[in-house]
Amino acid sequence: MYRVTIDRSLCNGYGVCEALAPDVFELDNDGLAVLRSGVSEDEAVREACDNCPMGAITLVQVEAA
Amino acid sequence: MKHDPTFWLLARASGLTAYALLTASVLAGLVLKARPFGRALKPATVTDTHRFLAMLGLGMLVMHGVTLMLDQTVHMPLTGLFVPGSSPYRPAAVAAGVVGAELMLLIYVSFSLRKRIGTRNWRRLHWATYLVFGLATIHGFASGTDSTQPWARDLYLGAIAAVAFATAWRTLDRTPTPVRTATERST
Repeated sequence: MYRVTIDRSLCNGYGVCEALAPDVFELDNDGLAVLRSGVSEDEAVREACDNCPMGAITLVQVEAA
Repeated sequence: MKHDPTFWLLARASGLTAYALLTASVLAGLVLKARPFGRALKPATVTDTHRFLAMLGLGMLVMHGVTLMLDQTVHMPLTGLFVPGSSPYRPAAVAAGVVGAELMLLIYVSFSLRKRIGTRNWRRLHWATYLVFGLATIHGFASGTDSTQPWARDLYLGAIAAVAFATAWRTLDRTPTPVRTATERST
């Protein structure tokens, strides 16, 4: 289980996260990433975090309650 | 034998082009955050343009250094290109260019090292771009042999005005980007 955060001051709207994990990330009206869900079990969020061109995504692994 | 001016012309042209590319890259960087064109310009595209212009500028600096060495007009030794103050020709003015170029390379490379040095340090280092721009302007104006030409003076003044204007825009127009949190959205 991952707790996901986005540093919006770093995000430049490449949209890689949205493409890799559309359940968790989307681009808003400004073209910058927002979270659809703050937590996820999907390994795709790890892939999104690793592939963000700006390194704007942070993951914290948490125990599922 | 008549002196072949090819390398001398290339050295001057590449120096001026590098300066224009540096200015364009700085402007793109400021446009990235000020977003004067709103949604019409994707930030991702602007980021790529910003980095690409900086890379081209560094490429032009390589050409500037190599052609200065190959040409016989100012007799630039290899050390003069890397060690500030060791140029026999206008040592102080050339030193400004050397330090500016080295700092520019450092800032360019720091993007790829953000994970290692931390985002905060990367951002702090990015402020040094203003120093790079200042040093490049001083270097171009004080060591360039075209500086007395009206078009060269216009280039420098235009670049300074453009960077100052974009910086003012970036500083004054601080509309915060609204953040929608996950909790606000989950209904």
